[in-house]
Amino acid sequence: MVKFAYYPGNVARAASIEVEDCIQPLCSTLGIDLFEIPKATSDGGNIISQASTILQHTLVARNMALSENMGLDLMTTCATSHGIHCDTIDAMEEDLSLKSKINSTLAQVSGVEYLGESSSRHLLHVLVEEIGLDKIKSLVKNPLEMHVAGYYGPNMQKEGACSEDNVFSPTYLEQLISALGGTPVNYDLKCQSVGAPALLTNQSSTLRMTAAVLNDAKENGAQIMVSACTLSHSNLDTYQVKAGRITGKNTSMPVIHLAEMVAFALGHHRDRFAQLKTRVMIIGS
Amino acid sequence: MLDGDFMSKPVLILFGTQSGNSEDLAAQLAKSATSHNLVPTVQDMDATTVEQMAASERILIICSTWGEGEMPDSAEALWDSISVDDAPKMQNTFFSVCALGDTSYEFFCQSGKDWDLKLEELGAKRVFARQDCDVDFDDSYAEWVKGVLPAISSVGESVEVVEESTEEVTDSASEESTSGELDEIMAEGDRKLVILFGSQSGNSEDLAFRIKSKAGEFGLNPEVFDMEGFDLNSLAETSRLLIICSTWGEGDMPDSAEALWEIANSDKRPKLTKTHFSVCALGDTSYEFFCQSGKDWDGIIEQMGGNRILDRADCDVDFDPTFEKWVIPALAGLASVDGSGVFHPELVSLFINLVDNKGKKSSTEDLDTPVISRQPIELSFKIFRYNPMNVEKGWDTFECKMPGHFSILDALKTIKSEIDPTLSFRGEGPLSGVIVNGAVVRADRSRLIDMVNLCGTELKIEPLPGYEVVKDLVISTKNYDNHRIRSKPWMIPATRSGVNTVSGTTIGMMEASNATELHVIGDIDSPQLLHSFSDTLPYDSEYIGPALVMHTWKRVNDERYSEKARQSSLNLLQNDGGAWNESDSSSFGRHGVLGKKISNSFNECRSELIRRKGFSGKHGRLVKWYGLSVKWSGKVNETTLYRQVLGPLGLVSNIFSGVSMRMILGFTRTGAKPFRSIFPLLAPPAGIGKIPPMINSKVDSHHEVANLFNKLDKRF
Repeated sequence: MVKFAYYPGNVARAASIEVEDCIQPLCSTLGIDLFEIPKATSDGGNIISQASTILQHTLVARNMALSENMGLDLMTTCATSHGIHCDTIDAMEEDLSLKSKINSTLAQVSGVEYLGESSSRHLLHVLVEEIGLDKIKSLVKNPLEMHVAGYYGPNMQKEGACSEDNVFSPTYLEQLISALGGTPVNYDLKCQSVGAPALLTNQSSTLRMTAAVLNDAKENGAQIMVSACTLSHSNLDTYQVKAGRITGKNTSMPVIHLAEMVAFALGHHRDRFAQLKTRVMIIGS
Repeated sequence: MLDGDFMSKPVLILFGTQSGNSEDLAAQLAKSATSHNLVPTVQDMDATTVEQMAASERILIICSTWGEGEMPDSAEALWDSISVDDAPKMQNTFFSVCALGDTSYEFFCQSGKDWDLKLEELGAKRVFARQDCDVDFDDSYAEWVKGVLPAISSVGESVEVVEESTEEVTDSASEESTSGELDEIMAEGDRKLVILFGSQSGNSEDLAFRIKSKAGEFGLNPEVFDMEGFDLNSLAETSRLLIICSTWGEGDMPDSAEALWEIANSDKRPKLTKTHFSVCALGDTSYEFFCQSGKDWDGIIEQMGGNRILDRADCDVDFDPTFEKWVIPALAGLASVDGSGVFHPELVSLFINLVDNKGKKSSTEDLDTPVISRQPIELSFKIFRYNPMNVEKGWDTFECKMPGHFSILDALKTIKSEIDPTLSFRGEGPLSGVIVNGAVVRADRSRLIDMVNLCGTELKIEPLPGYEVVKDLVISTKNYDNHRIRSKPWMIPATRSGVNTVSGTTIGMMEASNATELHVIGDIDSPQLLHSFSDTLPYDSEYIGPALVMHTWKRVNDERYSEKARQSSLNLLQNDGGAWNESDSSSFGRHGVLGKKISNSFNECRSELIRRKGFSGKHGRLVKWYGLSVKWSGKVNETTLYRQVLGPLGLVSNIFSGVSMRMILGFTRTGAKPFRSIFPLLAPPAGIGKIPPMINSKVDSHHEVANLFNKLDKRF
């Protein structure tokens, strides 16, 4: 068994509850043991850092320190959260005075320190690098049998956050889609931001960005999109009609999260997978 | 000087190769031979006849050995021909052999040895001992080259010794006298050269520094100045001046040159009777007032009494060829101005020759300098094409083999010269940026080998995003420039107290930490490239972009900046089009160290805006309520964010745009209960479908979170 401290991100237990429904069964099938981090908080979502960088870093370092105390690396399903964790880890490694300041605050407030021994992992990287595509392939019960566009987003596509995948031309999602019996769709904008942090404030430009990503995937033959980022998932799914309306582009496409895709292919939530396939048939490509 | 043809000494370089090493060395040898006044002809043994060998005065042979001491395939025929009994004699031939082999074989370097003996047998004279090279042949080969080239070059000199030696003595004497004159002028008095640039896009600045790096060869002490903030009066005592200035819009000065231009046209302008000058004007022939700013400077400096030592150079968009043609005579002209300010036109050509000779000398010295060159790589270039004439766009693929040390720009130039002359791209400089497989890079500074290591051998090259494409990879910076004007990027200095230096000059002071911080914020190689880091920019025409946000942010942090201008800059950053228009600054992080730095600077900038302007506007409210919801429960409450940031109207708009319905029904999503608890029945729609509850449950030990906020930021 592979063991991780599980961090659901900011929205997996709120607006994206369907992710939470899938992560436990898929990990159980693949032999990943997830342990809750009971006192974990929001990581600041790159929003709190706009008022106070050190406050966001300290929130993240606290979560990392709690994982470290459990003797585990932290795993998340959200690319934004993973990117934020990696930013804090890098910042603390590069700036010892920042590290001291954060750790002395944490020691006073929570009685913990983050020493840098626990690292952050994204579910996608764990699946490809720890579990292995061959094992995943062997456990597939319901092959995807669809043209699937993988969306990485920008947050984990940077040095130090993308693990062994390529920063600019990642392929892990495509490899995973193939292993799950789907046909990966290659498109240019798979790493482009959809402006998730500014969804409520710069709606006009974020919707254009969202529409561009969806339309690019659709024009390249995608029937569904799978997102490695729970936060961006909201833009891509909930706001896709609005995005299509203001840009006049065809954006209509089911968007699911990585955890859902894997869980469906491994035979969990068969009813939901059937619903998804029906929607794909109705919407078309 | 001796006549070039008289001095020419033909040498036949023959190679016999199996794996390509001998051929490669033969090509290198030919290159080196030219610096010894030799005129090389490189030839495969396969294409050579014995008669040709016998007719050659100088022969250098590089030959590998194959199998059990056998000739390589390409040498076999020639070897058979020369081994016959009636092979022609070679008494008039001088030769040397470099033999390649492998000591692990019994017949090490046998083929080379055979050639060496055979030529001796036929009467040829060995000018330098055969060199036997093992598998790692570089050092042995270099040693042979070092000895053989002077030796073979001196062949035949004794025959012509009488005539040549006379001329050589004359030539050498004349060189010595020339050198003496130049040494004298270079050693005496002031050798300062002022290089003044007025730049809009960075090209003039780039050229100014290129001149600076060259000026030392002419014995000049160059100093580069931006026209912005330059004291025109300081030119009154300057003997040597070079101006590089671009033209903007309808023949206007670039922003940085405007203030100086106004002074030059006012009564306050100094007399420049001691100044010798030349101007390089940058422009674009597609505009009516081509190079107008440069022409204006050329005229006004003359009116002020300046002495033009070389006609102005007017450069088009592809400025390199014109610039290169101008820069050497311009530097030679100004180098010929002596320490007392007198121009010696007779020295100009001597300076040009001196630099030419230095160039030759240095290339000779290069023989001993290790050059890192990479093997050719099979590459597939997929290049974006756009033809503005018929508004057609698409992609072209070129399959090429190029050395790994080539830059992307070298590769584009090679494709243009050898495959498709219609391909358009920018030359060297900050505007050479392109996207290669998603990475924003300067084409002139990115090696193929590095890009291949990063992205593989299929390279997809596109123009920079966030700009209008003019043709193929050429972008127009018009929008960027317009935003730049809007951001008023120039320095508006504050009146501040100064201190007196020992010499009595008053200067302004700045804390070292502040100066360092400014350098860090401003340490950007190409603002035009940084402009393209943003994923938001192509979708937001109002947004001034990260480069201009950073420039404005730098001004705000500069204590020399006037308070009024600072307020204006802060307003620019706070308002529409400013720092808040960037939808996802964390996405800069994928562009390496610079991207990460800019992402951090964005946060600092926004923190300062919140500090000064409060949690105002949508952006401020988002930050405030995000922070508060985390402080209150340890988790984000999206319902609170929607309500507080969008307000009632925004929520209503979401109902009509289908957003709320999708959140309730989860149209394309699957899973989740219709009602999360009893709460949605009391305060709908929160808690129905995918709409999160209005009130979060608290995380364990929530007091720690509240305490942490209280310790670090009491605004929440």
